Amino acid sequence: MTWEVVLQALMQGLQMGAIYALITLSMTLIFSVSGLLNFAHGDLMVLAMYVAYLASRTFGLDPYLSAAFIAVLFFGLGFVLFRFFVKPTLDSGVLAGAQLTLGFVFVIQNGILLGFGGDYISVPTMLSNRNFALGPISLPLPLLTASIAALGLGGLLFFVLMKTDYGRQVRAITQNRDAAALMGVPIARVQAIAFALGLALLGLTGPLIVAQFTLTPAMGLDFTLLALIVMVFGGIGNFIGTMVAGVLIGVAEGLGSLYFGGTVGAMVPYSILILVLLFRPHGLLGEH
Amino acid sequence: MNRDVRGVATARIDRALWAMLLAAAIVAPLVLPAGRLDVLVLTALFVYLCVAWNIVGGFAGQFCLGHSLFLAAGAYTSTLLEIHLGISPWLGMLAGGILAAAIGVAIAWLSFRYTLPPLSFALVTLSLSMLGYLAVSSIDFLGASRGLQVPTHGDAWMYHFAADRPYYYAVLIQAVLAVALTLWLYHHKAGLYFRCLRDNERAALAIGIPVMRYKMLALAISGFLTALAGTFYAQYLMYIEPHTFVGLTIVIEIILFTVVGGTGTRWGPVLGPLLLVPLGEFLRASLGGRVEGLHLLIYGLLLVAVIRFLPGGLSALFARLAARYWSQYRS
Repeated sequence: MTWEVVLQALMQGLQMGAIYALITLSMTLIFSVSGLLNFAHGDLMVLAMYVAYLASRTFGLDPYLSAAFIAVLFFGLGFVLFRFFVKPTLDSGVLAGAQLTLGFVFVIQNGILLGFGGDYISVPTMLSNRNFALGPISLPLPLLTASIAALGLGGLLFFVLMKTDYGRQVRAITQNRDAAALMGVPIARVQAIAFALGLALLGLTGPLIVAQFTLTPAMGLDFTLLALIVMVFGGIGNFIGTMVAGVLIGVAEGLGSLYFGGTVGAMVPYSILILVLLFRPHGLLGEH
Repeated sequence: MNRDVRGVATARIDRALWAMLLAAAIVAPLVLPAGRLDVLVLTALFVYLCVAWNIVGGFAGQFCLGHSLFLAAGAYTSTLLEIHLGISPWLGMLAGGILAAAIGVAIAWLSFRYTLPPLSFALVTLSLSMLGYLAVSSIDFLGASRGLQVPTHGDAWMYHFAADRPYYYAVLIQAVLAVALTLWLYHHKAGLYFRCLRDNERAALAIGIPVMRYKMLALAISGFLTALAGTFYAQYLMYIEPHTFVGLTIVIEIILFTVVGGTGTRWGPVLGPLLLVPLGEFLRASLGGRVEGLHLLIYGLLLVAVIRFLPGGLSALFARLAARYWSQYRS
């Protein structure tokens, strides 16, 4: 095995990792302010991918352009879902909330199956099948774009969290919900906006990475699982940890499948999660 | 009417309802046309699976997503023992059950050594079951993703029947025993401890309940029962492969059925599948052929509606209706 192949796998893993981190950031945002473990996270992103496919098929709109519209659409969807389903269910416990999102998984997967059929679909984009040569390694341009976008969006989210009033409210709730409520932080509104913002991020992410995947209705759960793994690995509620963990998981998966084949590569993230939960239960950067 | 009389009366009604349900379950295959027994078998199987899951997920309050491991332990152990050593699955299922109980104890030990953030048990079991799925689908000895053919020669001694009816009674007996076990467990010390550590684990620890040991016990019992169901399902389908037996789908179904019925109650895990499995099959039969996905979509919407609008599930709804009836009766 030449070093170029390893470097290639490393770079691909790095970029996939940036995408994983982005998917996870929205999950972390939702989880840290409302305690909702969202099992439908990946499925919602897949839904965004299918909407991008629909836009491309009916209006000839490139996914890189429709992403903005889909993000707005998903912001609204998130608001409605939170207001009428998630919030009332969460009031009777986080377990009920998690179970509700399991129900969402059923609805979204079969809604997609109903609307688009079960066949594999690939969505053409302006960057599909184009590569970017960097010395001896060549990187697929869609992956490169998506990972740069992921870093950009991650940075934007970080800025919002650290520098705006809304971000301070989110962090206050994450640190101590009761104290935040006593200080006058409007918990319900912050939670609703976090959920809507999380879904808007998914609405952006889905179309941006659609060129990398072949769509099937049931693919969402894999993304959900990866996001969960990255979230726990990075430390729940720790946004920098999440970025680092996403990249590490992406690289580990890439190198794992390079050296041991696809199945073992796919097993790497789950094994990492179990090890992390056993030995560093508060996450990679968390304190004991 | 005072509270004690009412309590005794409710217990009596409760017993009468269980007896009626049991009678209906015994008579059902004699009344229904033979071609429709598959729905009965599936319903009884899921009642059994949900009752088993409810011991951990309901009574003990540990949101476990790893039950596919137990199901697979049963199905694969008994099938492999029959293929390679000619051992009857009736014995093989016990071996599978013991293996599953051991896995359950190991999972409990792994996940409860530290006090982890809430819901991380769900994550550990989820990852373990995904690891199990990936492992089984890549190990040739276990048939990899192609699966294994369960030997079809042999008779009732080899857990092999010619028609659906004996299969139905085989799973019904196991389901009834499981229900009886949970009814007994509910008021027994272990059951009380389970509910105690669900409601307030810190308090349970403070009054001296050995929390770890009882979590192990809950997972061991639940795993054992689920493994027996795995052997049954393997014998019934005569074919095992990772997607059905180690996949997440069946775990999600078990959890949703139980939730719709009412998690942590005695009636819930029975009521949920009793209503939802036949309904699912009916929707599939009436809509499935024409529009792909429609019956499952309706099904999913129904589940979301129940979780959203009926917290506590169907059993809580019935309890509320019964309470309303009682208060009218009194006035």
